[in-house]
Amino acid sequence: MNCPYRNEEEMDLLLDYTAGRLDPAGAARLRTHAITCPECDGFLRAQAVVWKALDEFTAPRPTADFNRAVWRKIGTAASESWLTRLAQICRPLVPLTAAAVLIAAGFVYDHKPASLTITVAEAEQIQHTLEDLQMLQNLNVTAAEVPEPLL
Amino acid sequence: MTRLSNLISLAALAAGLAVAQDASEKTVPRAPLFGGAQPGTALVVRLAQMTPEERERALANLPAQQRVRLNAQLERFRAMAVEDQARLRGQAAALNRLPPERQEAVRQSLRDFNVLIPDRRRVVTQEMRALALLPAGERRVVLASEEFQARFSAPERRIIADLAEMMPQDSPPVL
Amino acid sequence: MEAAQALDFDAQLMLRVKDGDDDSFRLLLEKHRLPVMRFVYRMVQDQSVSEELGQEVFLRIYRSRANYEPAAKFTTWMFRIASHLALNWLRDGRTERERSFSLDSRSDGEPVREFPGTGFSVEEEMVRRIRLDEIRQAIADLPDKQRAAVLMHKYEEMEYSQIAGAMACSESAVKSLLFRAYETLRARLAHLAGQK
Repeated sequence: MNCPYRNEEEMDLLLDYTAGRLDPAGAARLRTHAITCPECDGFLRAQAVVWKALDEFTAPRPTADFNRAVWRKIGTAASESWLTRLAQICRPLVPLTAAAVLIAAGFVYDHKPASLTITVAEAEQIQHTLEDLQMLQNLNVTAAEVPEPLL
Repeated sequence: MTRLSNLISLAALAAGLAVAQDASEKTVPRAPLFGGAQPGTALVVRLAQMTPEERERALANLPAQQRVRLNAQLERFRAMAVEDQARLRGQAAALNRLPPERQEAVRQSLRDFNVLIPDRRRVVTQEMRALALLPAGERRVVLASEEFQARFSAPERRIIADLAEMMPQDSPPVL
Repeated sequence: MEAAQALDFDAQLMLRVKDGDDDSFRLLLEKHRLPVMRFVYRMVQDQSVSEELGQEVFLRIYRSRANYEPAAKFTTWMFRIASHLALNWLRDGRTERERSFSLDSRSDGEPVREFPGTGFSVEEEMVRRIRLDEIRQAIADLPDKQRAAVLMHKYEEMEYSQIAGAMACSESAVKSLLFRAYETLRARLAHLAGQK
């Protein structure tokens, strides 16, 4: 076979081998070649180290609230697009719309409702955050009591 | 006729906007995507800024016991100086940026720190403050030194290593 | 033919979403939230941000339903949205994040912690944690596009053509990104050979 290390067109064979994506025959050919090719052998060994190391970098699972948060955002986006549609309808009445928006904004600002409603799941999140904040505050209070470190 | 139609449009629009505003208020606000604040922290700040009546409405769906507990904790947060709140928010954000297993390690150390006897807590805190000023490489040397190991027990060493960079800075971090 | 149909199952679901079937979207969300989160988390290395960005990916998928055409594999399209969002976040937020104080940069003075039941001694745990930090940092230090290509190639096992579709570039550009990225990683992580 052509040396994949020296042949740019076939270099991906080396990556595919480490990724386990070569068919058995192709993998066998590359292994045989690597026995007599120090460059390919060195590449495969070093790439195997990277491959194994990257396996250690795991990612967390989505939180239990993930799907619900997506639907919540979809709901919010839907109400936003409703406003957008309304704005399109009102476009011919731009001056009137501007005046109305000012009046409505003034009204809404004046009667601003605080209608945020916390769900049980959000309450748990808040509870955890407050516990974090409390523990950090304890740390900060103690830190304020000790003398400044000497530099 | 035209004037009447314009007036009706105006009234409908004003009502529509007010309804839309109300509807969007009913959903939990999106945590700022690029602002770095954590959703939990953003909610805490928002709740703490509310009047007691507003907060009562926001927490209305929760069991009474949980409502009382949250209210008490929120009041404590609200009673803090603005710069203390900002500092805490920065520290909480830094904690939340850590990988989950590291977050748990730091939280455990915070719990362990709180149960140290007051004298040791002060000694440990002093060490953490000093270490927080060192670059990572020098800190590693200190942590590995025999002198350090002789001065602190194994649990204290873990607390110090975990929390050194959680120490409050002289000025609150930019949020 | 069967294989083609199997490959298109997600696209078929998405076409049903286009027709107003939210249950199909629920299926897509359930099926793909994990790979999306994994990818975004490894891109931004911040759990809260990745959760937020992951949700944004699905919001955009849902909002695009009316115009959806199954021109490419659904996952290619999905990762295109995910990589676009993650790359934008990295680009827009870099300066701000550099200003804010963070624990992420520390690693050398990592604490030693006992993990009862994990079978790790304190020293082993310390070595493991430092090693993991090095790996995370090596990935974080890759240029953003190289990082995206590596994550899709390594963790999501995507073909070069799919990665090219997701990143809106040619296959040869993807290979070039991957070679450069892995070359950097081989140099950065070579010393891990032989370690546990």
